[in-house]
Amino acid sequence: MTPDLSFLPGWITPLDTSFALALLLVIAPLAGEAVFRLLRWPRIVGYTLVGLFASASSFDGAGLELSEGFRHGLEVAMAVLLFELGSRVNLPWLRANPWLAATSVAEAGLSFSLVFGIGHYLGLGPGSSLALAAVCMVSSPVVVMRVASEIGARGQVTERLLMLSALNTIYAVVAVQVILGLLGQMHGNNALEALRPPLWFLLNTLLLSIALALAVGYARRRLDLANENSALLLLGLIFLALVLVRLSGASPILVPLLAGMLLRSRDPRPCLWPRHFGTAGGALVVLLFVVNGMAADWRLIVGGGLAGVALLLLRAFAKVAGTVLFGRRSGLSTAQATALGVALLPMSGTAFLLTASLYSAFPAMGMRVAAALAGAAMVMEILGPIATQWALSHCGETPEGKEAARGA
Amino acid sequence: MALESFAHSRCLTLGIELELQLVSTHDFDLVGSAPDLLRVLHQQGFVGDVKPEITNSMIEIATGICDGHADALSQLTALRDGLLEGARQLDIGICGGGSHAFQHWGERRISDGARYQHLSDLYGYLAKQFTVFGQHVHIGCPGSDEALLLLHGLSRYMPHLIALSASSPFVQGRDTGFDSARLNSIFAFPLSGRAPFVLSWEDFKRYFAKMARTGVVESMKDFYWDIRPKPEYGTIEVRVLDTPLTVERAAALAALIQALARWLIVEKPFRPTEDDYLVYAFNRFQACRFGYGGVWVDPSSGERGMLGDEIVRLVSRIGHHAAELGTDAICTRLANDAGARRNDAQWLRDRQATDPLLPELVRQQCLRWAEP
Repeated sequence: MTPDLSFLPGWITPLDTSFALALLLVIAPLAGEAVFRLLRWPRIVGYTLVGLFASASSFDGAGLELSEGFRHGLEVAMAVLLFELGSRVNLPWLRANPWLAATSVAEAGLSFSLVFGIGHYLGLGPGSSLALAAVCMVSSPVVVMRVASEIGARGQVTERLLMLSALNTIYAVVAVQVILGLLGQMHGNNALEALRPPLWFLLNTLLLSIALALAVGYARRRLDLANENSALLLLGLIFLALVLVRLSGASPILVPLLAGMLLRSRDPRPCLWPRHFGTAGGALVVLLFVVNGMAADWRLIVGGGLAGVALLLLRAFAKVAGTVLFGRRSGLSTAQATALGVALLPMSGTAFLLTASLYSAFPAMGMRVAAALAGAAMVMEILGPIATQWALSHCGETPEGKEAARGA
Repeated sequence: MALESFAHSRCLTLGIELELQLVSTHDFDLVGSAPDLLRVLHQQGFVGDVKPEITNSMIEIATGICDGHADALSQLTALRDGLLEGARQLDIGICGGGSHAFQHWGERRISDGARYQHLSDLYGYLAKQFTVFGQHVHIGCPGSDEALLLLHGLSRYMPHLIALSASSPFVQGRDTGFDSARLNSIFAFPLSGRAPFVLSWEDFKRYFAKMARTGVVESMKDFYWDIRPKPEYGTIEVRVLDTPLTVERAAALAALIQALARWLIVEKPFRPTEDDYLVYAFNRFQACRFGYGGVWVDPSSGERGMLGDEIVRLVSRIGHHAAELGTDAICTRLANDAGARRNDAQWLRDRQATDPLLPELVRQQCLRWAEP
């Protein structure tokens, strides 16, 4: 049901990027709808499949990726989802329910340790294994946020899923920075020199997220954010923040995420805006998942295939074990705790972005991590959203009406 | 099933049930967390009566048998604090109010359990529309005939209690213009309204047997009357009140009902008649719609007055009985509210006028409920 683009006549390919873009914007929603109606899977699986097929049939993927403005647009889409996620994270909950904090440390810690173990076993070397382990902690916040909002999930498992996903993203970004710092030291720099970049990075990130939170907070006191026009202003603010992120070398992942969290904790008045900040944000989000699919390279998967499968299984075990360990003490039933672990499985966009930052710092190491990761991440791009959706509807957190509509 | 016999209870003891809203702390819409909350409360060793309700975003707490206002208030406060501790662990909000301001009934989910599923099959969408929140007050009666006499004596004061407790002006995201829109959801049920006018328990048993034979009802639970006898407790149960925004007001309203009951039992100021019910539906509508500003027609004299003023008059008339029960200050405070036309519906409208965002209004309700 997903269109294979190789049937297109050769003369189309040389056309400019806007044609590719337009074609994707037509095909991706169709594929999303097909996947949703026929298989009852999340629509983003359809978007990602379109991306995968496009790259496999070497349909002008390179052209799209090279376009600077286009890439920035996608960063905005990701930032929008991260900001939405951040604004739903209620940090005082961790103080009220310390077992939830313990769950977060357990699932992220176990994922890190087990993945590091397998990386070491495969002979990746300590640096690459550490990086791989850090990247695998992440439960793609972008996928999790999108699936939860698409199916209208509400309840304990959903809230905890968002919380844990936000936290393990923070752990991973900070861990990658620290690893980069440590590797820098191994490459002959002294300790002070090695520590400077990650500290700068964190300081810049923090300052920018405060600035973004202040700006959005100021806007929402004066404008009704439920209105489409004001939502566009939010989109603009996030875009602006991302430009500053690039100039200052801060984290494009942490800035919107932390800004959302700061906003929520500074002002208790409910933060409500149109999903993904309205239609413009929504269109960007569709493209984000298409391009995520395109970024995967079939050749790497063949190379890292078996290792990828082992990695996936261990990571899945770590996530589920981590959530079940303190599940009952944190107030979940065992079935809910298991579902939470399964819902945490997605890994994709964020993992690739992190690998990219590794790659730019240490190309050789980045490549090796990417190879081991690619198989796993690629499989999870399809399986992850399905796992999250299954888990959330399995524990009764999706509306009944939607279930009925799906059957129709 | 035959009607159970009327149990013994101490005269004028109180019991209070409150149906409460469970909301998300993100968007402050209702959230189906009742099973989670019950599980966590069990783990925390919560002592007290807490039950699920027809949809899974509602929860009901109940006091034991209380001697009077002070006892009821301390029991309610303990229940509230226990519930809040469970809610904190789940990061959900709990609040009072007779209706949720902007929930969509279609999104509600019927609780697990045979009775709820049966009600849902029987009543269809009405069951989900029944996601409204009331306060029920039980009054201990010396005997079954006395209970029926008290029931029909109290019924003319239902409008007073509706106006004092009203806290459901907003429904499905709109101001309904009603002070208590919650009761409109209840009137939709075929067995709602008032109890039949019979003054002896023998007659009531005959009525029940006839109804049971038709297969329309199986137990007293199937009657959704404004006041109904509860034979297994030996009480009558007043069911017209919206859940107030605070436990203080819930306890105060129970104190007023207790004083009213004492007045009716001790002084027997009038003999209830079937004709009292000629104006019943009119008076009740006026109270729901206009609150204190509604018209109240005296069923005995046919005189008309404004409900707010009638409440002030009534409280001063029963003041002696409130004083005997040690609740004159509490009842006077309610009369002052009526004089100043203050109730929870008004509070909600005032808040919404300052900040029109309804989720913010629900957040304010949660803060109000948690106020020590």
